[in-house]
Amino acid sequence: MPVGLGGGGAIGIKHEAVMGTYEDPTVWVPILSENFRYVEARYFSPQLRQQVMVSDVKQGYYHIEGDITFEVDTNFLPYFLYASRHTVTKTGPVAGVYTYKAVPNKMASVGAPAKSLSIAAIRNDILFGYAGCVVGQYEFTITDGVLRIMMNMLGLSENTPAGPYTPSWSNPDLLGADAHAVFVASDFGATPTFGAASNDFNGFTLTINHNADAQNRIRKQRSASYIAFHETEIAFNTELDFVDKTEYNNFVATTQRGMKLESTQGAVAFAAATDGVKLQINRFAYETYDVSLPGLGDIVMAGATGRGISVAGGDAYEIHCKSTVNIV
Amino acid sequence: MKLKFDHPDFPKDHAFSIDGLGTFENGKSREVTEEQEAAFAGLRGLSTKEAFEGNEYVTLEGAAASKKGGES
Repeated sequence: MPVGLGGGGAIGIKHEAVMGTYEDPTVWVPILSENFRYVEARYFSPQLRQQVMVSDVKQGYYHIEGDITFEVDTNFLPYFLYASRHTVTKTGPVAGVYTYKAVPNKMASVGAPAKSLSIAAIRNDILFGYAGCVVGQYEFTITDGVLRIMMNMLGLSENTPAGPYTPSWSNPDLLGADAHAVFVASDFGATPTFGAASNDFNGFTLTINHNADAQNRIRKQRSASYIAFHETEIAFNTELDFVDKTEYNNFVATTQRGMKLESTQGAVAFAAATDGVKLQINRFAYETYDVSLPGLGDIVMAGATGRGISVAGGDAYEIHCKSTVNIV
Repeated sequence: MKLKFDHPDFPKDHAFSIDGLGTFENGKSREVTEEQEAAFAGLRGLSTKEAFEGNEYVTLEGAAASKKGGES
């Protein structure tokens, strides 16, 4: 086999009927990069036998772990929303467009109706298969005007796919520079009150970290028994034009409000039957808000980070995706 | 030979492209020319039939017996 390039690779996914039972991929996701890997706690024996180095090795417990990055595409994002500690509701279609709404729940691991993923990776025409994959962390960010997502994923086991696989590709449905608007609410709660879009945000990164890890229990298998979720941490960071002291005062006063990023095709409102994504934190407070004098010719900006907080009788965050894809 | 792509998750007119074979509209079958079959075999080292045998969402009509890649 000659050497290969990343561009020749492919990632395919399929929701599993039974978590951890590998299934051949049916949806091919155009990614930017991935680094799924086999992670093993290998055992090296430190027996004392008149030698001063380890004397044996045994295979240990293992799991799959890695990051996958792609430009947010409404054809594919819903598959990954199901594969985490989310309750997903699907409504529609309205003019052929379904709305998927994912909100957090308190499950300790993925169970029905959430759906784990089988993931196939084709690297230099060589197949890898991973089963029981779930998303431990989502990081949405706008890079060069395009909404991207990086997900940290964990899986139960590695499989050897029979193949051959023949990827089929959809036309890109990216959310570009004219798609985005950021709104800060005047209050917080289950349905914060949003007014006009803000024009001050220079960058936006939202991280939802379920702090997932692989759990191995004693059984006649080395693969992970399940993927556990721990505390959910919701955080954002951005840079803001520093034009008055309002937000600084909000930081000092721990003012709590809602915030959302709407990204829609064709610069229309998110409510329309158009592909798009809405990322909404229903209650946040600034964690840091730093403003200083930069260099001679640089704009005075404020670097801000914030943290999401639970909402009584509501959801701490909501991820909405409008898509023509109909996941059953 | 005709190839039909029918993925239940995607709308009926959704376009899928397959290297060497071109674009297919979801839910419809389309003739695959000998040239396209040869191009596909050259890229994949597999015949179209071999590549899609057992594929859940792709059906082939009028496919000849499997041929190894590169042959056309």
